[in-house]
Amino acid sequence: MSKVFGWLDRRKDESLQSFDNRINHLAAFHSGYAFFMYENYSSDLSAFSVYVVWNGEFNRKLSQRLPDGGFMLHCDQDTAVSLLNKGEGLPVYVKLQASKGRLRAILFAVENDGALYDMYYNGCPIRKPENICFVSRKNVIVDACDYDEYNGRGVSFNASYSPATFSFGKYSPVNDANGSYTQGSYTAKFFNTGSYSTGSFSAGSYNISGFLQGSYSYGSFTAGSYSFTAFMLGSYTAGSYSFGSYAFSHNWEWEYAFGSYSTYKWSAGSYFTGNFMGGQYRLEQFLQGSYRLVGGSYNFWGFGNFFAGSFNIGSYSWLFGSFGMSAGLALTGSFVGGSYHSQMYRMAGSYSGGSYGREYWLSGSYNNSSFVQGSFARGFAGGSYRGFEDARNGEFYGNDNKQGNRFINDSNYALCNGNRPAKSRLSFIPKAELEPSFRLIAEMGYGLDLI
Amino acid sequence: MNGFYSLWTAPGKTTGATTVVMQDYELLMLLLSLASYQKYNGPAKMYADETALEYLESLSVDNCFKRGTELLTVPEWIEPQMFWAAGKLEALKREQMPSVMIDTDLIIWKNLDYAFDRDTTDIAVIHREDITESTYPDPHRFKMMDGYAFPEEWDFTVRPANTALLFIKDNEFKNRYVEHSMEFMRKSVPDGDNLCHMVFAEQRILPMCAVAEQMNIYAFCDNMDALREQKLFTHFWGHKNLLKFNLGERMSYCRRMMIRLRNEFPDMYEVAVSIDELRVYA
Repeated sequence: MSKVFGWLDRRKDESLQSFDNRINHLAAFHSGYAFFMYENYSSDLSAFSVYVVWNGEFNRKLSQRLPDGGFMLHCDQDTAVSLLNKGEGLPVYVKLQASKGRLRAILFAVENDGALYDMYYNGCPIRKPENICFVSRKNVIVDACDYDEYNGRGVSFNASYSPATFSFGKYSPVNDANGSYTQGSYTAKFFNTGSYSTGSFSAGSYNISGFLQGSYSYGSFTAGSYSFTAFMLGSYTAGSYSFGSYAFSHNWEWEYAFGSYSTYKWSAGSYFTGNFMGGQYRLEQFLQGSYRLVGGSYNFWGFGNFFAGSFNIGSYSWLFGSFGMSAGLALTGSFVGGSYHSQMYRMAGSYSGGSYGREYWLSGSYNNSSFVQGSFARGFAGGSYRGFEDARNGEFYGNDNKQGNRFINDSNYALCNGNRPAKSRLSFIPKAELEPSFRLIAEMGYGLDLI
Repeated sequence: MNGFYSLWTAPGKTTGATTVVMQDYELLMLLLSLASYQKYNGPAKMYADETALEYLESLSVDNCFKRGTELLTVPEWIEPQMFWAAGKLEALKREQMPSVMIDTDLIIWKNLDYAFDRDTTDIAVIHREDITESTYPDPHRFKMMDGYAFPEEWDFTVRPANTALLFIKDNEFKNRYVEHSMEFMRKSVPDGDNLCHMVFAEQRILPMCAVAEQMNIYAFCDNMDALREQKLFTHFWGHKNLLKFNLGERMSYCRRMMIRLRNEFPDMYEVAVSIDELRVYA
C-alpha cells in the first residue's frame, strides 16, 4: 500500500518539538471525501449531516480516529443542491494539531468548486449514503509530501497540499500566523495562535474563518468590514470591537474572553465568549460563557453551534450546555440544567436537568459510541401549541403526550438532529421511545453546568 | 471518607496505541475531581497500572493523591476490550472498605457523609438504571463457559446501579461482590461485545448481591428529575465523546475547568499550569 501520508510521520532526525511545530504550521490538507444524500439534509436547520470516508492511512495516524458520521455542514438550499448534484464525494480538508507527537484533527471543511464549507462534529444522526465510491485522482500536488514515498500510481485518496488555497491574501507582514497583522486584506482560514501585541487590525477587509487565540493587548479593530466566523479566545484589553457590519452605541469593555462584556447594543456574526450584559444582540454564531441580559430585544440568527453557559434574559433564564440555533427558530444540541422559557418553536437535542416551559420542544439523545444517534423521544412539554408546528400537518406535541405517538410510530418520519426533514425512508433511525431511558439521559452527562 | 480512583491503560492499548496519555479535558476532569473530593470529602488514592503510573509521575500528578498511589495489576486472562472497566474492580478488590470508588470523569462538589454515615446505607451510588434490552439484556443470553451458573439468589429484576461513584460500607460484602464479578468475567465466552458483559459484571451484579444479602443501596438521584436538578455531581460520561471531536466545546470546557481550579483549588491549579497541555488554558 502506498504511503501517501508518510510526511505526517516524525522523521528520524526530527525532535518532538520540531515535529509539533511542523504539523501545527501545516495548511489544511485533503484527507477524505464527504458524501451527501438528500435524506441527510434538513431544510429547517439548513444543514447536512455529512458522511465522511477518511483515508485509512491518515486516520490511523491520529491519536483519536475520526468517525464516519456525526459531522454537520451548514448551507442554504441552493448550495445543498449543488453539493448533491456532484453525485460523488467531495474533498474534505482537515487542519491538524500536534502535541508531543500526537496528531489531532481540529478543523474540517468540504470543498466544492473552490469554495470551502466548514464542517464540525456534533454527533448528529446520519444515514450512510448510497453513493459512496472510491475516487481515484491523479492530480496530486506533492509539495508537502515526501515525494519519494509517492509512487505516482492512482490511489483511493490522494493527498493534496496547496498552501495557495489557504492564504492570507495581500498583507504585511507576510504569512506569519503567529505574528502581527497590519493593514491590507486578510483571508485566513487557518488556526492562528499566539499573541498579537502590535497595533491594530486597521483598514482593509478581514475575512477570518479560522481560529484566533491568544491575547490581544492593543487597541481597536477599526474601519473596514469584519466577518469573523471563527472562535476568538483569549483576552482583550481596551478598545472597541466590531464584527461584520455593526452598530455600536456604547463602548465595549472586555475583561477577558471568558469574562464579562458590557455592551449596550451590538450585532455580531461570529463567536463570542464571555458574559453579555444588557442591550440588544443579534448573534449569528457561537456564544459561550454566561450572559446577563436585562431588557432589550434578542434575535438569534443563523445557525451556530454551541451556546454554553447561562443566560438571564429579562424574564428568561436559560442554562445551556451546548446548543445551536437555526434561523431563529430551532435550538439544537444539548441542554443541561436550568430553567427554560422560550418562545422558540423547536429545540432539538439532548436535555438533562432543569424545568421546561415552552411552546414546544423535542428532546433526543445522542449516543456517540457508534456516531449514530440513539433514540429520539419527546420531552417535557408545557404550554400551548400554535403557529409553526400547527402548520406542519398538524403534528405537534400536546400537553398530554398523546399526540406524540403518531409521530413516534410513523416510520415515514425521521429526525435529523431533532428536526424533521422531508419524508424519507430513514429506516436506520430506531423507533423513538416515548421517554428516553434514564441511562440515555445520564449518558449525555449531567451536572455539566456546575463547572 | 476515603476515596480512590483507578487507571487501567490496557483497553486504550487495544486500539493499537503504543503509549497512552490523557487528553487535556481528561486531565482536567481528573484534577478537578481529585481536588474537589479531597477538599470536601477526604483523602484519595490512585490505583494505576505501570503505564499510567509513569504517566502521572511524569506530570507530577501522582503527588496530588493524599493517600498516595498503588500499582494496579489486572489478571492477564481478562480481555480488556470486553471488560474495559475490570481495572476498577481490581482496584476495588484491593481497597479496604468503607471507601468511595470514583470515576476519573466524575466530580463530587460537596461532602457526602450525610449519606455514607446513615445506618441504612450499606452501599451508595449516584443513580440506579433501568433494565433496557440494549444495555442490560437477559443474562441468560450470555454465552458462558461450562460449569458456570448464575447464583440462584440473584434477582434479575433488580435495577442496576451506576458505579461512577460507589460507596461500600462492609469490606466482606465488597469482597464477595468483586469475586462474583471476577467469576462472571472469567467464565464469559468472548463474543465481541464491549458493553453488556462489562456493565453486567460491574453494575448489575452489585445490586443483585446486595438484595440477596438484604443490604440497602442508597441512590443520590433515583429519577431523571433528581439527576437534572442535583448540584452534587458533574459526570461527563458520554459528553467526553463530544469533547473528543469538537474543538470548540472542548476548549470551552477546558477553560471553564481551569478557571474553576484557579478560583477554588489553587494548589491543584498550580499543578495544572505546570502541565504543557493545560497551560494554554491558564
